Amino acid sequence: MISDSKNSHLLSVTGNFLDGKTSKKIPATLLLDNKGYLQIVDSDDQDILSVKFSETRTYNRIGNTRRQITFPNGEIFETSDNDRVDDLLKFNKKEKGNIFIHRLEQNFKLALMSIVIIAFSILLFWKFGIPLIASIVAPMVPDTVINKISDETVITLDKYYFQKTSLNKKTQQRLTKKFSTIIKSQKKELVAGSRYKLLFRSSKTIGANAFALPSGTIIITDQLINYAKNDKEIISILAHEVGHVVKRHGTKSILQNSVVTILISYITGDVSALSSMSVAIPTFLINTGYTKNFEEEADNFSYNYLVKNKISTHYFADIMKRIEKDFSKTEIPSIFSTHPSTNERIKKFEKKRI
Amino acid sequence: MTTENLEKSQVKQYPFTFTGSANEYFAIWIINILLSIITLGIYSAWAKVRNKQYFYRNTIVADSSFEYSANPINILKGRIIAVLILGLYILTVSVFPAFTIVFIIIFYLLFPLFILKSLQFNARYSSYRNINFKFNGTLIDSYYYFLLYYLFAVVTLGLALPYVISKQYKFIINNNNYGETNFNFSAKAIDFYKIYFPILISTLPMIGFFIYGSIIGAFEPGVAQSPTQEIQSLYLAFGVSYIVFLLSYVFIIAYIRAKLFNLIFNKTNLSNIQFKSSVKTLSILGIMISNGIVSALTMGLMIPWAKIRFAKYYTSNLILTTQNDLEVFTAAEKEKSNSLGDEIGEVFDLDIGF
Repeated sequence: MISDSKNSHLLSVTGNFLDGKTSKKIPATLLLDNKGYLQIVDSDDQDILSVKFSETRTYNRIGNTRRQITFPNGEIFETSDNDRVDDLLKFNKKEKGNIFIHRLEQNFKLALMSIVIIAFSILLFWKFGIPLIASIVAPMVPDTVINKISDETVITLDKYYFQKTSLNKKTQQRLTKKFSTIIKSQKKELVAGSRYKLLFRSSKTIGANAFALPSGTIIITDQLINYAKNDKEIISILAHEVGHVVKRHGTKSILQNSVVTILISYITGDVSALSSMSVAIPTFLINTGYTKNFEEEADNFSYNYLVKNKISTHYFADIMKRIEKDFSKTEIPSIFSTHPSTNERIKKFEKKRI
Repeated sequence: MTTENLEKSQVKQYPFTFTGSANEYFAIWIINILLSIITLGIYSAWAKVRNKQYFYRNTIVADSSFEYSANPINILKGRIIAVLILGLYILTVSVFPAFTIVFIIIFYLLFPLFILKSLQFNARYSSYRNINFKFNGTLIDSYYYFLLYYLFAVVTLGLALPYVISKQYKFIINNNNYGETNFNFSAKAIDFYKIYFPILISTLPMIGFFIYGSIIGAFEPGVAQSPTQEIQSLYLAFGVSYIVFLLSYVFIIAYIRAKLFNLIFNKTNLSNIQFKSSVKTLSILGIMISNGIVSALTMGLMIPWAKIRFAKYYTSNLILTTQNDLEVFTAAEKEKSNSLGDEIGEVFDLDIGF
């Protein structure tokens, strides 16, 4: 059958017909008539196929790649004339959104703006999104998990870094009593299920330092206590550590680090080479950034405790300065250090003298 | 004409070409990322299909393009399942750390299943001239080649690894069909030994560097307390040996990619279709390094450019040759699609094959 004259057709597109049964490519023309039928004719004007337009599916346009229109029995008509196909689709209500995304991709201004929007979203997510997720999830972590992780950490620390404390029982009791005072005064903000415990250790490798584990176990080294000229200085540090526990910094830290590492690995998984280096460095910097925030929060916690209990805040500044003096030889740029620079930290502690 | 002359004159060469461009792809790539972010990741399944389609449809041979027809809905389901499993893993492992081993063992036991599903998925949704590919391998074979054979390689301390890899590629390629026609891989184990043997020799100095660097890097923390010139030069030495290790590692990857690509295509035939591949190690290395540096410097914005470069390079060095017609291939019976299989296959999309 020879088809009607092409003049009665609304649109025609040239391309190829592939029947899906063999790999044979047949040059053909696609015609749309005014009754809503798509007709495919070969180069001899012979009818190959005639189907209702609404029963076909046109693949979405991607750039200027060849377009395929699929027919009910698996046949396809393919063409490079994308613009013609776009015109054709205007006659098929079902294909309304076909070139929507393509239009967005054609908009180069939008593409450039996307860079800004994406960079901004990433920044937002990093600064607020991840900490927010951590804040929401942290209270949901079961106490058993927190306690287990903390206990395991103490065992590891004892194995590799700590030795038995050389403080006498009297000193330990005295300091433990003062520690309990801090805890009791914080009843409202006490982390439920946590068991606060003060552990005394000596550490030749770590030196003067104090640690807070998520379960409420706080460790203070003899070396740090030896720096103190006054019990109040030790109290200010213990309050800082309690701040870490109350604000769930340990748990949040673990959650945030995991999210950051997973995200960066997933995103940069796209890069063809040298990806391991480019993952490790940003991850490290980002995680250090979070730690600085936590230290600031703990400092504030200590500050508020001291003020509330009418203890002069300069005690914190004093002991910090004393320790800083011995370690000022290592000038690490503040991006890399986990503690904000001592001078910045103690500024507000020095102001208040009761 | 003698038969020989007849044959020679009838060998047709069809070079592969890649018609995509970095400009066009950049816009597609970034808009799709933007949409994925705005939809909190849900659109990412569609983005993945679009990105893949861009590369498939722009890969042209004998004036026809490839097509990728996966359903984004299945991909979305697969991703949701993957996230849930990941969540389950993290939860279980934080309460019972011992379970990590259990998960690892389960993963290795299921690995051959994942590979099989991935191979089936990739084949089923890839087509050329409207004839789909198909993967015929059985689950038992998959376990045989991807579990048993790996154990064999381990037992022989890696000496049998090239042999194992040759068997695996044979399994993958021979079980791939274009329509009803089988691919055939004619390489032998010795061809793989020729590729991997030089690596074995050169790995020894590399390992030496790595061990040297690790020993330095694993110095006791006690040393860090009093930083001196000594420590700084030790860290420098560690840094240098790490960089050397990294560069050698990248070179080896480029080498393997180039040699394997050539071997696979030069020794694979589909009925009377053969391939000629002339990819060079140094070219791959150059592209990898420049891609990595540029991508890192532009915070990833040049990733689309990097991908296009690779696509262009590989296709420009690949030629299809045949003495026969490209129109003689027939489609296989339509398989019943197993949607769970699709989802598993997508998640572990290992991009095997072309």
